[in-house]
Amino acid sequence: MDRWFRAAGLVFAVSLFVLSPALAASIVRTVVPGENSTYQVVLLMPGEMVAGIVETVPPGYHVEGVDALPGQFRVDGNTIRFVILGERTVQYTLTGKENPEGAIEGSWTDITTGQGGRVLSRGETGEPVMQDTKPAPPVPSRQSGPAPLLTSLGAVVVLLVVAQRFSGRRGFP
Amino acid sequence: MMPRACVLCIAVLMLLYLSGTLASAALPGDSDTDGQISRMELAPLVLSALDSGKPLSGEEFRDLRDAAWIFLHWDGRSRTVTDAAGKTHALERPLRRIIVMDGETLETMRSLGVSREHIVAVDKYSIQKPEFFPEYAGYPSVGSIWAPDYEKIISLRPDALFLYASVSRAECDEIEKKVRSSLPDTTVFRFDCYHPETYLADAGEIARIFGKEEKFSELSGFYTGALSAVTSAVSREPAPLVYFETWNDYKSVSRGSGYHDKIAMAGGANIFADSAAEYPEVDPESVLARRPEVVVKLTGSARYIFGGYSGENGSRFAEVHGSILSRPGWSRMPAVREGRVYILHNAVLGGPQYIIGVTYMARWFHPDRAGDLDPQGLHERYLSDFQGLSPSLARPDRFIYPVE
Repeated sequence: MDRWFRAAGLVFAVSLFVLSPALAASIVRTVVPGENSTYQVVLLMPGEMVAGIVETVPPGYHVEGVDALPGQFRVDGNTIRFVILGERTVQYTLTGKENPEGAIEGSWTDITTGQGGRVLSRGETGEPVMQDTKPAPPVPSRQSGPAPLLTSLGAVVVLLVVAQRFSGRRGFP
Repeated sequence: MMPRACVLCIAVLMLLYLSGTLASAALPGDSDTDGQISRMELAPLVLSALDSGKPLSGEEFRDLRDAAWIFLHWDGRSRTVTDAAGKTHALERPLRRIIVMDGETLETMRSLGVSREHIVAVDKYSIQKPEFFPEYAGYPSVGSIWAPDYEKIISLRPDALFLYASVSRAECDEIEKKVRSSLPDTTVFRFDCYHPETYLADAGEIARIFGKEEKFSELSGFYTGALSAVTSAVSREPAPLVYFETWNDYKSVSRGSGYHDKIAMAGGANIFADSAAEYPEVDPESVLARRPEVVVKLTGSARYIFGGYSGENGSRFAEVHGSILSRPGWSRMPAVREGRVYILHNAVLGGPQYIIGVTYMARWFHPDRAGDLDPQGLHERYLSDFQGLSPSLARPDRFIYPVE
């Protein structure tokens, strides 16, 4: 049984290595609660890109305002479409219930490559979820944010611990 | 009979229609045909694509994808590039199906961060270097400059083909001519990417093709920094007499060849600088008569294939070194007497890595002044920062002999 735990630990550590570049290349959403049931939503791009983002907010919320260049967004009910033309961040403000239900869902497409994916909330990237602080500062350069570094460092530590435990006994099976 | 005004009106309308079609075909997304894809032109196109909800993979999105790429990498405008042969190319679309027929240009593209995704085939020699070009192992081959696979080239329908500008010019001219006759829309670029005098100009233009100016600036800083370190170490020193021998015994280099320039950059005086031929066959007696103070033997081709990135048969460095020292009459040569005979692998001198070989030679030519130069460190940095390869590949025993 112990052996299975060790193997699972190793798989987890390796998967962190594999996944961290994918996370680093994603668009990340941070939700910052404000006063009077308002929420500031910040979308952070991984680098300079031309992309389309579609965000769908849960029922019961209202899009109060959008901080993006004119002509580069469209609000249609609870759906917001953004066009990213090299910007590193865009923001919008929601008002709604005091105790939020449901989650914001978002997807993005890099227009130059056709690749895309789900907009990740900050907690999914390995960074702490922003609760009551100001929005995260823009990442200064492509794929150089702290998330992949911290993830990789964490993975190295896990690997070392697992490897040490293995080598202390019978070595790798 | 149709009234003249009516005919004129139809003609004008036809002209307007044609000019509009051509303009839109020229630069995708440039709806006002002012020659620039603006924010206000691109944003509605992207919003409309988002509204459609379709995945961005079909042919219908090609124009949008290209418009977005041009907006991002070429400031929304078409791009004019002048290659090393002096030919100007006006690019209206990003290149998406590229064939590269020489390793030097392929290496330079990698230095600039050009994605392999759009390179559809490469020359056979690059494929045969899996240690240096691991990502091209098993890639489609189009032969070589000297034996091109035309059928393959044409079947791949490239939008661009990269050939040498001055190396094997006749062969490259022939390839260009034949490919253009079958694929008139294919852009043929000519770059050398090995000559110190033109290397950064070549790399700069290639960077402009792919919108990689930022990475070029980093690459340029690397080369100019390394060269400046060499120059400041050797410039005021008397140049030692250097006999430089290629991988063909008693074949040297003269003024006009890239190797001659590299010897000069390292602070050496080429004893065959004034030979008539660029790569002169020299008389053994004339080598002795010119009393070289340093000998550099180049390896990596012909009878001297060993070492380099593959590291194979590394023991031959010592063997070849020994055979040079024992050439008839060479024991009297100043270079041999003073232990200044060196072997240098062409991988770090012949192509874009020349700055590494030049730094090694500067240390050999001027041990007192250039002893602090760190060619191995330079090599490691080049591999890790620009080639995405392990710096451990820069082990000196694979590239030089004797190792200090």
